[in-house]
Amino acid sequence: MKKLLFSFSYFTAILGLIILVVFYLGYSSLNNSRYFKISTDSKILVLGHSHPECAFNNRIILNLTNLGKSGETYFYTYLKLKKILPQNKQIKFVLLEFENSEVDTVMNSWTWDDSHIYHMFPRYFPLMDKSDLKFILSKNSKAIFNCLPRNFINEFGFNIYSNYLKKKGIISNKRFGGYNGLKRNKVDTITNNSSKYKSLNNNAIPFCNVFYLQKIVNFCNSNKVKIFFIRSPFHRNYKYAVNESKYNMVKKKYFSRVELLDFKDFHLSSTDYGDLGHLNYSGSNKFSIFFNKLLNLGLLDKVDKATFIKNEIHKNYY
Amino acid sequence: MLFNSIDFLIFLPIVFFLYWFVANKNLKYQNLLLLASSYYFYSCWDWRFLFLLIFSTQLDYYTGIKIFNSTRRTNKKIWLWISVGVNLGFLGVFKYYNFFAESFEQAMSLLGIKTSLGSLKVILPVGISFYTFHGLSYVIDIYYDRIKPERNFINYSLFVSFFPLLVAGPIERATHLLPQIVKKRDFNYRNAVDGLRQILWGLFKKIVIANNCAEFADTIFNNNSHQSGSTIILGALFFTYQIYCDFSGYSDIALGTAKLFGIDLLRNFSYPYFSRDIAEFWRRWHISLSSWFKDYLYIPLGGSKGGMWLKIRNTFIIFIVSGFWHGANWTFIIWGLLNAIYIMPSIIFNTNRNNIEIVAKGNFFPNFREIISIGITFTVTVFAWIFFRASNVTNAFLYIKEIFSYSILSLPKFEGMKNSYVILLLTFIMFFIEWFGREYQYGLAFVSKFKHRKMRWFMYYLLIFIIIYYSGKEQQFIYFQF
Repeated sequence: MKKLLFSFSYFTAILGLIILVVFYLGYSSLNNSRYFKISTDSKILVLGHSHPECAFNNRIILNLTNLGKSGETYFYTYLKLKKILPQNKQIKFVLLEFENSEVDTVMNSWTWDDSHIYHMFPRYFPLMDKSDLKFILSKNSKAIFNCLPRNFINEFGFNIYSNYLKKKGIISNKRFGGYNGLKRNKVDTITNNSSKYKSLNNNAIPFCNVFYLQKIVNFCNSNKVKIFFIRSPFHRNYKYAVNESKYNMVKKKYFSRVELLDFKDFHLSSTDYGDLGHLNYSGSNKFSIFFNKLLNLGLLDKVDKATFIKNEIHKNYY
Repeated sequence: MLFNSIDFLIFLPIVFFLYWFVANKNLKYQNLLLLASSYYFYSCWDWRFLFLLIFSTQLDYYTGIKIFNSTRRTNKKIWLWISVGVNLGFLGVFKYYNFFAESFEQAMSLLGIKTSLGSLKVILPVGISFYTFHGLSYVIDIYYDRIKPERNFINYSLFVSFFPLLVAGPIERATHLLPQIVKKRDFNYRNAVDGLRQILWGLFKKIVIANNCAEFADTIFNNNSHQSGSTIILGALFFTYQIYCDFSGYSDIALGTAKLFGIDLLRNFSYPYFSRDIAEFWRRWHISLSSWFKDYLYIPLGGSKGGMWLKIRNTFIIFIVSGFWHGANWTFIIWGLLNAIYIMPSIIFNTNRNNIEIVAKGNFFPNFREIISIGITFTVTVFAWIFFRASNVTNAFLYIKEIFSYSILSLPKFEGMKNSYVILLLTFIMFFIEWFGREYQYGLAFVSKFKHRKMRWFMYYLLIFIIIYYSGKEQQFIYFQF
């Protein structure tokens, strides 16, 4: 028995050591100052989930960096923002996607259900402080422990490869988001099922998402960065569009001081959508050209932005 | 609790420590500890079904003693049938009621009679097919005076519920396991290391090969109408390796775990895909079930002693029953039937015991004839697995129909199957390791012959890292549903 215990301990110690080295290098790679640096020309930062990720083509809008990321809820966006803002003093504006799905309880599951946590947690873990970690552990510790081995090796191995060997940062490897020009068009294959989405129009609010959205707003304010909410275009049959009244209620009740740049009525044909919620490459180009034009016309300095946007849409497309 | 879960990774060392360090001095305490651990292990799935397990255990324990104590043959028979009836009754209700009710209703509707027997909305208690067969073999063996009943209830309960074999076998025999339970067990270093190595190999097969092949097989089986014939074949191949690595992986973990406690379980797999004919395949696949059916069904039915027709009839019966044991679906029955047809030439020409030893024993390469035989056996086996995997008979035939099209000549497509080439490569590596180790109890066992520890450990670390890389979401073992 002694022999077994000795051999096993020795074997496990070596294994543990290898894992620790991978862990340390992977963890520290995201915490160096170089990783989150973005172009000094970028004055505007776009954040949110897949909607802005697919909408803002930053090859067209030159002084803007799109770091929207599929499946990213405000909890994860907040973690990212905490790293980016202090290291990029050139950023003056944050445009944060705030659309109808953000007030649906589906955001809870996007934050901590098994399938999401498997992908998100290992990637964002190095960005968490004690309170963030405590929060996510309280939601689904089992999934976190289950995803630890595989995804940590996967993520941290990639971090080491990307940061130490290839010296690539957040922009070039797209692990934390970036513009994604969709090539698909699935709108015509999706029938109008808005009646069955009525169930989404309930009164439950994802408080976790709202809480972290407040943290994002406060963080931007404390860093003297102006934050705007933005609602990028979506198809008229988009399933979360049914909760418009709840959406307006949340905006009014919790975020009345944050201005909303609303493009939900931006004129696009069905072929410009990748699906009901996302623009495809063609749609994002049309939208980005228009948005760039608005920026050049001084959108962010206008007093009544909503009217300005409405007028410009009308002027250009009707 | 699954073998491939973090929970089990914590559970096993705790039980191991308590077993060898706290309860070491007393066999009674060791068995009690193993029994308590086994019940805990089972209750992690659903504690309510623990009562069913305990009831079934008590029933067989009690009827076993009654059978033994009865002096008249009729009384013995009555007690035997009480046990068999109640055990199969539970199995029938939980596993087969809905199938029979549905089939009866369909048959009646063909005759123009509308009937409604209703359906039971109950989940299948995990491991019920396995522990029912444990209990049945015990009472039948007592009835035929092969063994004496175990008077100690703890020992008997442990025989039925020992956690490594509780939910998916191997289906143990009282003649093999009970003597080990009642005897003092000493720690053996080589045995324990061998157990750990076997667990590692089982985890590799389950987590790396089976789980990944499962994803690809599901992708192809669920969208087979849009796939080319060659891709459909690839889907069947993925399932072939999924089911082998899933179940043999489970068995390796079970056997390895039992070795850590000084208990030797029945071997369940012996490289079935290297078989040269179907008879050999069935001596190497799910060995504990095949031998159970042979001993408790085939032989009581007359076996091969009553002439050719009886032999053929009995063969069909055990294969169909074996198929039905796997699940209440016509697909399993057809799978069993197909295997009975496959084995017929060996039965008729009396060649079913031609290939007893492992292929190419003592040589590295098989000869040409062996390669052809293995290839044919493997091909027909893959074909039969299509029925096993398909959700219903119609889908199985549609799947087969898609194979036989011109697109069979095109290259298979790997759409939606990320890293499929890596998994194919790892499956080949697993295949070769099993080929190297085919004369040992399990594939990786040949590593124990490496002279240098550094070589052995390098192999273990490599496997551990591949396992870690491919671990993640826990996936249930296929045989849990049976």
